[in-house]
Amino acid sequence: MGSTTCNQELGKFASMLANKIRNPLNAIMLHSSLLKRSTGLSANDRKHLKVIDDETLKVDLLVTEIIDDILKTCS
Amino acid sequence: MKKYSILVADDQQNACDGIKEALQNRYAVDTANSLQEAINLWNERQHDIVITDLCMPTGTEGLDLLQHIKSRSPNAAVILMTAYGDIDTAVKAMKLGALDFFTKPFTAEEIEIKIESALRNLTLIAANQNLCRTIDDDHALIGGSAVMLDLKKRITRVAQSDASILITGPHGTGKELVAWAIQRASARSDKPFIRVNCAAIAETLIDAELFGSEKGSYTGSSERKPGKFQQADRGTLFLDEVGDMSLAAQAKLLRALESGEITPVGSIKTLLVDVRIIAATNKNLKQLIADKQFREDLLYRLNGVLVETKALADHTEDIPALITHFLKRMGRSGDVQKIFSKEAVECLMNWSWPGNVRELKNVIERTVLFCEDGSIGAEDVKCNISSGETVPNQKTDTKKTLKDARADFEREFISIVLKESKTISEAAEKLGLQRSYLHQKMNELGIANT
Repeated sequence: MGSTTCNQELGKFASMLANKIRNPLNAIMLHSSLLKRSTGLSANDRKHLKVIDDETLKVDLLVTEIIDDILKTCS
Repeated sequence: MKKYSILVADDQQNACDGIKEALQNRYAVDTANSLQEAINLWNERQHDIVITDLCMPTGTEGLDLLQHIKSRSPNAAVILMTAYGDIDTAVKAMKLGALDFFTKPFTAEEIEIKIESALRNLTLIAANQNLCRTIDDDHALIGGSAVMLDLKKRITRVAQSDASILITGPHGTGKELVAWAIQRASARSDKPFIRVNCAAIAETLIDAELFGSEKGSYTGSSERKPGKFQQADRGTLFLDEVGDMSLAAQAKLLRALESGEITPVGSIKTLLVDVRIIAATNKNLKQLIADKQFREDLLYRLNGVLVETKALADHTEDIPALITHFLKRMGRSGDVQKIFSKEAVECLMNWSWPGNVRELKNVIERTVLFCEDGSIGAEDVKCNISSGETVPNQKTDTKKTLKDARADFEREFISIVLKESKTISEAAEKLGLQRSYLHQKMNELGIANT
């Protein structure tokens, strides 16, 4: 496989990975932020929501790092 | 109040639902899960803002939706969201006219901020278009007479070129409107149109005014200030009353026009400027050259194409259209709409209008202001013309003696020339009389020395 083709394939993989993981993360983050608007939440509920947000951002960061590594391999 | 409409296009139903819930209290939100559904919905409702996913689900359908919308509604606000934000796609999206481009994941608050920013942008675009329309209306050249049709034809022709233009004609005949019309019909129509009143610039400030100044370059210059040339860069610089410019200023202007370069006061850098020059004057520049008041080389530089505006007396058939135009403008500013009777219009058409359209506008405004009835008659018009400084185009009174008729004519004629001249010496020169004889004449005819 030539280097150009290899780079294209890795680029496609990075795009696919981002779409497959960030789309669900987006839904989680959106709905979590909507849930926070609810007035009936206890302090404990808010603590759980914060965990969801933090873990979502961790996965997002992980995706970013993986994509950066893939792109470094390409170049 | 009408709710702004938003279309959310994403193949992820959960994302669509989340965005809709975040926005639906303040906006009318529709959602679509495919490109075709989004196109159908937008064609039907022409939403104010569209938020679309870039990939849905096979490729870059978001860009296809963006292109579809922009080709039909260039001002529509389209925001792209993507899970994979590579720079190439972002650049492509912005070039295609996307307002914003951001990556997933995001919160409800973030999407609200994006929408508010997009709405501010839409409001600004609408306000800007309204302002441009108002300015265009105010600067419209009114009239379908042969004189006006000729002028409009010439404007269309000269607007196509980038040649410098000299507009000549009596005061109040719309030289600035002609310059504006040329700019709007030219390839520079969306670029700045900067007007400089050459007669109003103090000789000591001419450099700073035209070419700009650096901070601290002269006493009182507390900040860097761009000059008129810089402000007009890539657009049009309109030099009004160019015949009243001092000789020193003319020399500086000529140098800038010849080189296409300017040096701001206090700067060591020379700047290249791309400016189309339109100059205007009501003076006879050839006469000024003969009197050594105007540089011949500057005239040749300015006079690429000559456009002449005619006195209103040469196209009085345009007066009814001008009346309608000025009444419409007054109506826009909240004044009560009034109608000019046929007799009033005829009366206005029979006047000589030494102050041309500007004078007509003032008379109309004065008449509308002081007339209490909804319909304005000939008497109202006469009353307001005579309260101004106009001179009636009197019908010949055959009952007068020749001596009285001549005295009336001389009084009228000398008054007009005096009004058009800055000094009595200038008036005497125009009339071909000695200054002392003009004084004597004025005393005989009872003309006040104002």
